Amino acid sequence: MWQRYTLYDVRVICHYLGVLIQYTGLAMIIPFVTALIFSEWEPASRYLISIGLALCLGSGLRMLRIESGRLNRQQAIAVTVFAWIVVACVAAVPLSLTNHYNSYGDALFDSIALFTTTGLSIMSDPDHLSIADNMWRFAAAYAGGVGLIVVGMSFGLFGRVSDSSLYESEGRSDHVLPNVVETARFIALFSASAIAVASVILAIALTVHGIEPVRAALQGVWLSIAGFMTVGMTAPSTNIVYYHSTFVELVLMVLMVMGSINFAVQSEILHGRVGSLFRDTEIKAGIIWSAVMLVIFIFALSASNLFNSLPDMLRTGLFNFVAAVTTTGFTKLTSSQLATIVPSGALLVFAIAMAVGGSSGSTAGGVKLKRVAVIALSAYETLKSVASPQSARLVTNYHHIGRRRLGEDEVKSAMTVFIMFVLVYIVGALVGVAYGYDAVSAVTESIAMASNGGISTGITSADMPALLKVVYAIEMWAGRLEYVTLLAVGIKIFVSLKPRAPKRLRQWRKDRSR
Amino acid sequence: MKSRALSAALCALALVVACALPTAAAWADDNDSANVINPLQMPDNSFLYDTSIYDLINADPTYEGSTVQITGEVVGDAVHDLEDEGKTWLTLSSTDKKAPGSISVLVDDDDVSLVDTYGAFDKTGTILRVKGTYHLSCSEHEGTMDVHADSVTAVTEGQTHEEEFDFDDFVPGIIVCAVGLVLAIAYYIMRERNL
Repeated sequence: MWQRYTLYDVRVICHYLGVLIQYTGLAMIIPFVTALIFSEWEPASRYLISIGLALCLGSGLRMLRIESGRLNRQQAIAVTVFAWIVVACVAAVPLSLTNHYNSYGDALFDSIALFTTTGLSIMSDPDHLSIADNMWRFAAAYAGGVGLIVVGMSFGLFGRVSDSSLYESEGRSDHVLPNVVETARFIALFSASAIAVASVILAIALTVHGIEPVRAALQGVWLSIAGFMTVGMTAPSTNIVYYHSTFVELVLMVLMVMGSINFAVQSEILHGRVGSLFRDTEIKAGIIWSAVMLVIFIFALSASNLFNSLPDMLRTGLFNFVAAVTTTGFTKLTSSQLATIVPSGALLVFAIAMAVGGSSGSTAGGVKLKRVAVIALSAYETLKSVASPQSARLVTNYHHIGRRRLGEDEVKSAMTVFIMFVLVYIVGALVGVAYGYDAVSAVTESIAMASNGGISTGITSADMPALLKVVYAIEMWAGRLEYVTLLAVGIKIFVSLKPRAPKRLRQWRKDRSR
Repeated sequence: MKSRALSAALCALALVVACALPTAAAWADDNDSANVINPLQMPDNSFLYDTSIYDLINADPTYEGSTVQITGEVVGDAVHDLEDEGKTWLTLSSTDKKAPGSISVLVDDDDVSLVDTYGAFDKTGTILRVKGTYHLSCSEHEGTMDVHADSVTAVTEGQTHEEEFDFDDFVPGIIVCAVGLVLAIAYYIMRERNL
């Protein structure tokens, strides 16, 4: 039987959403100060209003429950599910007030794409966007990449009331440290450190390319966030092609790979346990998977006349492939090139690579390598059991932050998420096909949304049908939450809204069942 | 003899009248965006019309390897190509709002001096007219889509739109922030009283 949400639950959930909205408003101080520094007065006034609105709305929601109380599991999953949409709604306000969006809905679409690290944009004329707005977009992408709940926890927004249910409902299961708050702080700090180092390197590289130092520094920071958080967007409209730099691409490839490796594994490496990287089943599965897909991708690409030489093909092909397999979405090929001259086989490899995605507990999206590995191990165990004597008791172990035994619950959970992802990929693709788009493009676009991969074949634009925008936005949101939490909350809300049967009828049913 | 002289005089008159007629009647209106005439065109070859950046970035294969002429606003930065000395990458953005898009253009370092402003938030970049070779998938630059410029001309100077600080623009924000702060303080007072 499904437990209903009570009015008390709703008040507690609203209270915590209010906390997040208030702090989203405070985070807007970053673009506000940026605007003041660069004398961008119009954006500064926009961000000031948005800060005020967020404070009003956040405080109002917090007042629904003065004493916050301890979050139980049911409330925690609802807070996580709604946090992503509510924060995106608030973050879209200053963006929608620019003349780069046709409507608030378009700004919201972009905002969801930022927080879910999909990185696709339907903004018009991004080359004339203010520095403050770009700063806000990349700050949102950072928060989304680390995880809103993780960011909230690391800043102590949930105080002492948070337990692991809040942390786990965001699709994270590995604990770097015994305490979830400490784990959240480690993730936020580690990401910030990696981004800081990469920003300096990239800023120097861009200065060497002749870009003004201040602009080089800003773009260095933005590129680092986009790379490590697997967002894949850039301030210039021509994406990574803008820089025409092998070195920049190399640094970004390292960042993308780092961002798509489980933070717990990276913590092990930081503590000197480098061996755990190579023992980890998920990492091993990732290496094998990537190698096989890369070979197929290169063969598929060689069928086209895109590249003149093998080194060129390897360089561009490798960069694009790494961007796809880590669900980052940087691309050296324009969406129209992808749709017209890139062979459909290569596009399909892109799509499959994005669909599987990176490591669990990383910034990458998709089904996740760990789940694929668990399903593969389970299939192997089944085959082995068929070939073994009936009396044999089979045990399958694997390495992931230590030695683990493959359990039934784990396989069940991996299968559930896998099926959910596949269903959403199919539904999104069918909607695209129904609107008359090319089938391969529609499949790739749908996978790019649900896996938060963000490589577009050109379907995503401000002019696409409104229903498709809604479907893609839901795909991004649901994909980031990995479905189970979202569906559980959805069903609970449905059950809660269903009118209760009269008391007498319920008593009669109870008596009859006895 | 007389009639021959008369006809010669009539022919001469007709020629004078024809020469005196305004040329606008013979050519399309210069303001007609659908028929843009290149004022820099040399008389020894055919007319070359502006190609839309939008058409190029939408990967129209008919343009592959052909000489095109594009006009657009320079946005962003000049990025030196470290692998091709003496060359710089510029990004040209379409000025047609209904057909947006931007494309990378490889120019000589000397041509960069034509750019006085790079398009950004409060700046309209120099409008450049570039004649060059369009590559749907450039064999020299790892398959990227670009235009290799043969000649570059500045059409319009860039502009900086200095935004004046106006306190009145900030008044609504200050009021909303003040209300938000009052509500936040009210919440904290209520919470303290509850404890």
